[in-house]
Amino acid sequence: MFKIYLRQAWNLVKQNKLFTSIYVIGTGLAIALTMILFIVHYIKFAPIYPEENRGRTLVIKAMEANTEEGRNSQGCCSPYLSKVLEGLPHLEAIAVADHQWMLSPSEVSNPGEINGLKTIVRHVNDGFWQVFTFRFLAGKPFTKADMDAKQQVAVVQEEVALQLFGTTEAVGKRLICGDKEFRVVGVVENSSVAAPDSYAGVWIPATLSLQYEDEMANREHFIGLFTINLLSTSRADNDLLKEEVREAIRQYDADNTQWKHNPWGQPVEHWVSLYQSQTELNIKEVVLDLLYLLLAMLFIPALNLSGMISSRMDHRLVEIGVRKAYGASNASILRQVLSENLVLTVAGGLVGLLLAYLIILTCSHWILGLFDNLGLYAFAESSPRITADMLLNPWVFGSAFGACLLLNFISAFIPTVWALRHSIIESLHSKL
Amino acid sequence: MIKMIFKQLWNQRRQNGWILLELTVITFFIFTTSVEVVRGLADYALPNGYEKEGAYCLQLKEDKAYSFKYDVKEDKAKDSIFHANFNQLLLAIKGCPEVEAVAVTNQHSFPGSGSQTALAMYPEDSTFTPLNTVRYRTYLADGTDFIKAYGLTDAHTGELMQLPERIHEGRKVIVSASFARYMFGTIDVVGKGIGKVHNPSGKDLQEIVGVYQDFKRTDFQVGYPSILTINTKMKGQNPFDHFIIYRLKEGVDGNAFEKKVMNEIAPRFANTPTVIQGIESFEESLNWYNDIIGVYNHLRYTAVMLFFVLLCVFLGMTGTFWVRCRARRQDIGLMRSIGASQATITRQFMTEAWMLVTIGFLIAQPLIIHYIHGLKWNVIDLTAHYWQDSKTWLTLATDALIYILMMLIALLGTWFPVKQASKDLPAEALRDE
Repeated sequence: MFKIYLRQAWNLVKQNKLFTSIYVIGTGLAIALTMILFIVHYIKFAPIYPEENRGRTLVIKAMEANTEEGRNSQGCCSPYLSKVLEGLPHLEAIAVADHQWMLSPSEVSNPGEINGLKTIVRHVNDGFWQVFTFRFLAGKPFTKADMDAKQQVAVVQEEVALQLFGTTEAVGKRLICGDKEFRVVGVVENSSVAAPDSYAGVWIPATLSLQYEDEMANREHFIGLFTINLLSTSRADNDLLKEEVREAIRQYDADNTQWKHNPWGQPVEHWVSLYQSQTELNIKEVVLDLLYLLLAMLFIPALNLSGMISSRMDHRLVEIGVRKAYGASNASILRQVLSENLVLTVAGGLVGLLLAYLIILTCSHWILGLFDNLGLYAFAESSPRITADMLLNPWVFGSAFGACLLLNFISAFIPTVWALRHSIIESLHSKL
Repeated sequence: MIKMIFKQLWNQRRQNGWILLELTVITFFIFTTSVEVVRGLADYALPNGYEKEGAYCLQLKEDKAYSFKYDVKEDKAKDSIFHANFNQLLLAIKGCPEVEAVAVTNQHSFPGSGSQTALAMYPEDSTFTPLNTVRYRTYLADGTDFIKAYGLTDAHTGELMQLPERIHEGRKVIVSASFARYMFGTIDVVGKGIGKVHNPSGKDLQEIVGVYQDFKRTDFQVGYPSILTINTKMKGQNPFDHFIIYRLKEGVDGNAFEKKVMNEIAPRFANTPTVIQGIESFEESLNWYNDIIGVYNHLRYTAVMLFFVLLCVFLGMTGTFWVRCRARRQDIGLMRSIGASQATITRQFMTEAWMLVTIGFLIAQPLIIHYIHGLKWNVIDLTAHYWQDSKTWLTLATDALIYILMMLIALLGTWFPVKQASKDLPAEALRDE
């Protein structure tokens, strides 16, 4: 039966070239924009290297603290909080890293060479290597012992190792950053700016940061210049860990006479944290804005297509009348029309998906920030590396097909049902 | 004719319903997407309050050998190598024949500098509500002229401002027009005092010696009330926290001068505390700032969405009128046979298209009014009241823009199929009748 529908659809394509062109372009455009929206958010939300644990990562990146005398302080998070959270039952590891707002490219060079390269150098703790799943090409991460001993060691990205040393076998080699010399202890596979919580060109022990040391030693509150990523024991334990963290902060406040904290609902899941700035976050508003956009992207072209299908159905009333006269049910005719249109919609969907890939690849330096203003500005000078697994995966294909089905349904269903309301006599008498 | 077209539209209400609904939805959607952009573009069109072209910022960095060696106490006690070196660098730039003016500022004091400092200011002998004010800062060194280097304009005349004569006396301040208006209700405020404490008087006061036109720190925002404080001494301040701003004489090539600085002046300071890192024009630093705070992405987003919905309008109108022309082929043939010209037929269909767009646009208006009333409004300027800060004017301007755009695209989309249909010969068109 589907074969007959396909043949029928192909004949209609040949008869109505303008209709087909407009239909395919309209569908392609809608699918292209929908897929850009989807892929951009897939890259931001889905478990991609090296943030493959996003599903069980909870994030704290902002904090407010107040005193009874009316002092108010707001900012990023202090590593001091990690001390308070150590040992929570559902906590597997804690990553402390420079907040991305504090990052800017620094010059890194090979000893003896005047010109180096500019890359992001990030202070991180030893737990960072447990929370984020970096693949080591050589060497290994620095350890807690290295941290405590303030060893001048560094882990570098593949690209940095190649540019500085011409090889990824760079363990034991030296690099200069600022006024310090570091020994390379590990080289990791390249990561992307699209994973901003973990991205850097060079990672060095947090204890080498004066800011970190100061915040760990002298702070009474949890406001600082860092981000904390918490890895829960399993995805199912996320809620338990959230409650434990909030309870730990409440307990600290109860014991501490001066500062009372407002964590603004944090810790939160990775995807929510992308929208967290230094204020209370209304995630419902963010989601509604995205849904509004998605709806507009599908609904506006669907109205277009509905109008055209409605007109075409008027032309096919005689055909419908004949089919009904020979016993075809409304359901089978509806199925036929939806199937015929699906052929065109899928053709448009393929065009749209290819267009979406093309736009994402050619505009990668700004496309990830297109739908919001957050997240990547610290890395404005680095173009995000868009890898094949970000684009060619079942989620992307599935959602593209889902969008086609939805678009097909909302554009063809109502006009077809309207056309089917005519009686056989009315249909056979229609002359258009 | 209008009455007849209304009747036509009503008779084909089911077919017209789809395109009408689409036009209504699109009108509302474009409005919500573009209203803030229209406001931003209106802000962009306002004068900058300074001359962007020809102004550059010299980026300095600390030489590795001198890292962490700067000592505030020592610097205050005697002339340190840090300041001597900085002054030599300043003189080297100022001494170039291509340079018209130089200034020394801190990092919050030039357009697109990324961050800003603000402080509450109070007017002289008054319990007036304080105004949170943006503070720009300049340091007076030998021969520096912040006003000329930036090209600040006088609030009274709109002409390039002159450096006030008594500026070197200390405790002097220059304020922006909106600051003056908010504080004193007028821009004639030279000689008045302001301070950082409640009800300031005597030693707390700083005297206003000039009023400049509002200074836009970024391209897409109106100038916030601001003051320019003048520090007569740089001692006790780390020179690495400062920037040297210079303005080139008219006709001088900025790139050629940058090469000259990097090739001839920078090497002379290679092993001194202050090293030249690079040069950035005001234009470049504004571009960078607009990029990182998402202004360009917002513009891109609006452009993409506008393109998308206008293409939908185009396809919708083309599709609708293509089908309509086919359905009314006989009508067209009949009209042609009784003497209607191609132009008459085209005009009739175009009028139909115009009426559809207008009806769709009008139906969307209650939704737009509801939306704009609920919009959180952030009016930055406290006194100037630019038209774009009024919801009514902004709605009217955005509406007008949307209407014109949609009309153009809709008429273009209609014109193709109608032109094609009106070309048919009457005999051909009436064959099926």
